[in-house]
Amino acid sequence: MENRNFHYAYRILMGILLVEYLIIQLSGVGLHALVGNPLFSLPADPVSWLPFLAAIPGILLWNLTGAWFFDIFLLLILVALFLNPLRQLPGIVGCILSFLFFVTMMSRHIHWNFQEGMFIVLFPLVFKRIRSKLFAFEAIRYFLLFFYGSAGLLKLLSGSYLNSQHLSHLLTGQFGPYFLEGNTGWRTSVHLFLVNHSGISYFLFLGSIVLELFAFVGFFTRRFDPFIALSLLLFHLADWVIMDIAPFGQLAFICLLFFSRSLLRNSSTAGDFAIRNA
Amino acid sequence: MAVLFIIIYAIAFDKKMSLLLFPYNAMYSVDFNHNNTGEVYACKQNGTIIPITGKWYWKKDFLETSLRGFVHYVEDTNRVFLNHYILYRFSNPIVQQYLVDKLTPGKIKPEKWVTWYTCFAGRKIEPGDSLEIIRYSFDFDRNGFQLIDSVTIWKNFRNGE
Repeated sequence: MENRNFHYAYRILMGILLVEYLIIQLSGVGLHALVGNPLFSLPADPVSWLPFLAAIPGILLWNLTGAWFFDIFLLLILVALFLNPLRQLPGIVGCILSFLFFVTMMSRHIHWNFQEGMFIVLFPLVFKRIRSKLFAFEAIRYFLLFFYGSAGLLKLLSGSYLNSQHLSHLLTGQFGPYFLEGNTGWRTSVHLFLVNHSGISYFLFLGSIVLELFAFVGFFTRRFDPFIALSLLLFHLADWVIMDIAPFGQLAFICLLFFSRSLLRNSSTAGDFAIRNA
Repeated sequence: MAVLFIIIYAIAFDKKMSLLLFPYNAMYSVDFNHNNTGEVYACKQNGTIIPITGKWYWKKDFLETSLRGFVHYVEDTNRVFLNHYILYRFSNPIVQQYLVDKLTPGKIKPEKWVTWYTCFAGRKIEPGDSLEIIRYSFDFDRNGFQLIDSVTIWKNFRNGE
């Protein structure tokens, strides 16, 4: 029963991840597009340093054929995981390759985007036993909750919720290239309206904090997980329209909340798993 | 599990650890601007801006953000964030040198990066083409987007030869 539920849930999640990966590739971004780009920058995160200490990104971007091979191989792995998410070997390979894909891409992007869910969502597939998979699933669920909850919390701690001009000021840089190119339309009109009507943008900003803080409810009960997922998707949709920040790469990760109740219903906490299997 | 998670991440949170596996997510929590002005970067080929906003999201984002990163690299005399962080975080000169060698790009030829960028944006470079990187400053007021200044960050006439 647990196997069947997990298979069903991860088949859907892998389907979403596969579509996201295709969107990234079809936009013209993948390792094949980064060959010849010598400039990279890493954050203060030793986890992201590991592949570079082993010189792996340099090898992946050594030549165009190798980079294309990587992009296509990762696509095939994701297809294999969509067909059968319970197989361990594709799970391990997929998780490692997705991690390398994300780290290599972001190093050349020079800004570390938030879409790390593209490899974290694969973490439960690394394990063989279904109990271990579920344990890992619960761990990444907490990671997800904290990821968004902390975003809301930091907006409170920084005092930005007291600044009625906050979102108006943040918005100024978001659509600069559109205006510069004269590529204007309804989104730039909305943007201009929000820049010049700080009261409305302040209301939206407070709404985004509420949506993010709602994730903390998940620490106490799984009952509202689907609603947390919907609130986070709503947050990202608004983020996309208003701030021009799309969530592709993160959606499968968020959608795991739609399945957490059914997958974890046999245990009240992950600690119960550990005790029963000790 | 939840209690353990909260304790570990509360420590990470307290230490302001902005790590890949420590999801301290401070995005857009600080207003660095304090006004309605901003800056935007563009690459010009033969005096014409290479358009990026018509591309699909990831490519458009990549073209916009990596260009900003390149300008910061050039203006910081060929250094990236880790060049500063490693010197601040590690005191052993041997470790410093090892990490700088492995984790930073060193000195790269700007021509090489701009050539990659132009091709990545879908343009072909012919011999004799001029390429420039420009920073535009702008302001939003009731009348909309107003350009107030522009600065040439980098220029090369010989690219593609």
